Amino acid sequence: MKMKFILSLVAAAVISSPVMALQVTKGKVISHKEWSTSGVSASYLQPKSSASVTAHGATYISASVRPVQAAVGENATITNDSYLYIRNESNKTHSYYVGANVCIWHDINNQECVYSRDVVEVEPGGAIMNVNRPSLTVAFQQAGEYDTFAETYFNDNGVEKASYSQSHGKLTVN
Amino acid sequence: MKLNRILLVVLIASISQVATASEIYKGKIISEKMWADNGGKVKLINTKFRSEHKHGYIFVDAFIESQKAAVNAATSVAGNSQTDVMVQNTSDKEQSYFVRQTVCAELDDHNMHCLHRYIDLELEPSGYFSDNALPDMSVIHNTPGVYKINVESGVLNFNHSNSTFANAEGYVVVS
Repeated sequence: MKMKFILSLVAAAVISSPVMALQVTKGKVISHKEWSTSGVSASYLQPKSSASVTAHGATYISASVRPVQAAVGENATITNDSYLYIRNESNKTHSYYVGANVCIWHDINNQECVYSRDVVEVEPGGAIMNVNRPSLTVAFQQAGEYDTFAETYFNDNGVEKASYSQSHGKLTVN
Repeated sequence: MKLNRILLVVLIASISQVATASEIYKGKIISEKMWADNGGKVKLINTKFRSEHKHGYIFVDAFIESQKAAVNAATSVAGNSQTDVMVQNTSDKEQSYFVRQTVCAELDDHNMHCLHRYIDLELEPSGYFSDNALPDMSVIHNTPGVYKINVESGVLNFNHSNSTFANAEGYVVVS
């Protein structure tokens, strides 16, 4: 299979206890989903920050993917250092769709991704904080540059506000 | 000076009459200002609208692309970034909004240099504002390394205390 010739994906093996860094005040998680393409295991690295959910006043999201270098056949880990804080400043309960993912293109038509998505219901004055770090480990058998990207987003189904953040990087395989 | 050894920030020399891709309907700009952390002048560049206009609420996005650069070669931060800010007043009263944009480049482990743009505006009921311009920043690094860059856009509504910010973080790999 062509894909196997170009790329071998390595399921991240070392994450013994995935860290779910989703914190909700005055609200509840309605659903949580993690998935990946082509059977790649989703891994969620330890959040860098242990900031409290009360530390921020504004709704704020951020996505970041760092350029990575690896040798042919060597594992490379691509991570979205994702941050999300949503505060329900309205006087009604809102449901928020909250997501983060990290992806790599292994050729012009094909990408591999790791996703997470939550639906969270938040009462007025409540908040969500997610310092999720979805991560993908890959090993390429062919030298080259492979585009990577990370996305973090939320929306409330068009009721009040939505925000989207995208960071693009590269994996350089020598 | 240490900063000069690590990084030279080249600010575009003039505030020219750039036709920004801003749109305002049933509203007015109260004030707009731009400045650089080091007091230099700032120029706006338009970025491509990435999203459909979704009138009816506040929408903000930020996009950045990491770059490779040679030592002493200039790299445009905003030129590889995009943003959309869209806000509509869905209330039945006039509302005041505050749009904030920041473009930053890392100088070293402890210092960032940033350009800022603030817009104060008022919208009547059903009025809207959209914008996709960013302050431009070109950077020249004279030391190999990996330097963080980021673009942040946000909207605040003073009357409702409603606010939304999007930040996209990338890197310049200098070799």
